[in-house]
Amino acid sequence: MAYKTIIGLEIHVELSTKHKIFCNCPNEFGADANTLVCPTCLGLPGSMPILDKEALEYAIKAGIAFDGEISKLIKMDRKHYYYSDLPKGFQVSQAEIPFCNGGYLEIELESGTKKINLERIHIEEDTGKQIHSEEGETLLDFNRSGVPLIEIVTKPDMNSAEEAKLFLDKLRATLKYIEVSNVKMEEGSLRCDVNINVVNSDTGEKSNISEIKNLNSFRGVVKAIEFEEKRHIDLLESGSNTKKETRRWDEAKTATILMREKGDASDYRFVVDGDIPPVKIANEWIDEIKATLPELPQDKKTRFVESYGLSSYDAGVLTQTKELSEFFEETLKHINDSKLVSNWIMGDVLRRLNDDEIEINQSNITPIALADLLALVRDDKINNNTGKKVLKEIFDTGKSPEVIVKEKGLIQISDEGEIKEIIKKVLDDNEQSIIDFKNGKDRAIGFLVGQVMKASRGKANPQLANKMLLEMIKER
Amino acid sequence: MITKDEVLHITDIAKLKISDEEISPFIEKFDKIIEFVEKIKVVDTENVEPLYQVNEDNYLLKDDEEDQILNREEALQNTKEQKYGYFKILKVVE
Repeated sequence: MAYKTIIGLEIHVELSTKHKIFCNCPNEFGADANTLVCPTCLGLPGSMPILDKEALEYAIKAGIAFDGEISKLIKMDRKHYYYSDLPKGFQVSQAEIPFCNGGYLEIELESGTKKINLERIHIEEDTGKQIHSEEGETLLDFNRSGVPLIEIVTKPDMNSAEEAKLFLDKLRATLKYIEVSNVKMEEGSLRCDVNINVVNSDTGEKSNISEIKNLNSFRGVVKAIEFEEKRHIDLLESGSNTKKETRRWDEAKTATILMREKGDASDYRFVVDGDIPPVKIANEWIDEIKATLPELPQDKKTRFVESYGLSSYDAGVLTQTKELSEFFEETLKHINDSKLVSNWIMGDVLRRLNDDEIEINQSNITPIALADLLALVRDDKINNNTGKKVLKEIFDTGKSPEVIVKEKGLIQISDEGEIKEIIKKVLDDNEQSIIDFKNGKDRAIGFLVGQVMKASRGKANPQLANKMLLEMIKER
Repeated sequence: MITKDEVLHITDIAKLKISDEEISPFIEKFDKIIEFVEKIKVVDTENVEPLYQVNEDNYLLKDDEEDQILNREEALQNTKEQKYGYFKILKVVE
């Protein structure tokens, strides 16, 4: 039976402001435990929280970047629950009025562009961090307590692990573009919960929504979704159903594990935080913030299509990260052939980056090196295959293409006399193939071309070699 | 009237202990409080925008450059138990 998967995401993003959201403790990752704390973020009685202007500004930047509607009134609420990393017994968050409503991001699928809509974005404070020791104790560090967070809630618009992954890539890229967060999942500055269920396409029967927490990497998100898809479908197939519950991804067991059945929202006893006066947002301030934003990925994509004649898909991929888009444009400054540059980046360059799991700026390749390499290919100094080998060498060693070509003697042989010599020898050594060819076995020609390329150590101009081989074989 | 189950649910999420003997007197008192608070509903608030703060036009945002922190000794001075600079508590199991 066919099932449709329905996925919504809740993403927490730590804002990289100078200070925490309600106090003037520095907002930094990795300091010694409890050295970036004060009465306010320790939740001590009598402390006075004041909302941080920069935190609000960063949040609004994100809202604008996702094309959401910024609320005219910022109001903070208390969300009550008892947990050891939250000693004051409530988290300051936004329940009734989020600072941003709606918005969307587009993802590039092979089948075209898909819009993933956002439900809302709200601002809140992060909690402290728990460390569980081997000796059966829990240790608390409040350096993270009060770090500004935005929680981005999507509509259930994704239908596969792949779409969720693409969405997260785009979300991370956008937040990086506008420089409001470090968006590092391994440092917890980007955290993602997944809401998932499945619908039987024939009967319309639905499984109950599971919420998956403790996802520490994009790969974990993909694996957890795939695991849950199967679990939901299997339960429906066996005439049962899932429970509405919160589960946790266990990386070691590569499975989700029940944490708790979900409580009601009313259990949080949301109430207006009387210590934090509401803030009215002037349109002028929103305009000022808008003016500080760099070109957003969506706009850049449109510009790439229009100015460089790229397909929407290629432009989407090239603008996925700020670094990659800048690399592309920088390369074009040295070689004015957008299609050639785009093809090579989309192909061998991205493949290599994916294999190494690094970003372009962490690799050995520079825009000048790629441009020089492509000039060699374009001018037929080296052939396409040799170009790929040189590219690999650049990634491996960081040497310039000229040096690599010289050291390895890779310059393409386009001298007819030289190629003629090589072909003559190959033909002399492979009389059977000549007979095969004359008997109508076209495959033999492919073998002979291969031998010529091999004898020239890949340096023969392949088009020329092919043409000359056909001429010379007929003369035999 | 508030039910026994509701009382137990509220004390549970508020992490309060309540004994069986305390429940009935609690319900009695609590009902009176609710009854009292219900009176506010008499006021017609139709077409009235909610007010969250009396001083709505005089808000405050902080924009300071200066860090203000406690040192670790100060931060930990009120805790009964500490270890390696952390607050130490009983193991929390989810």
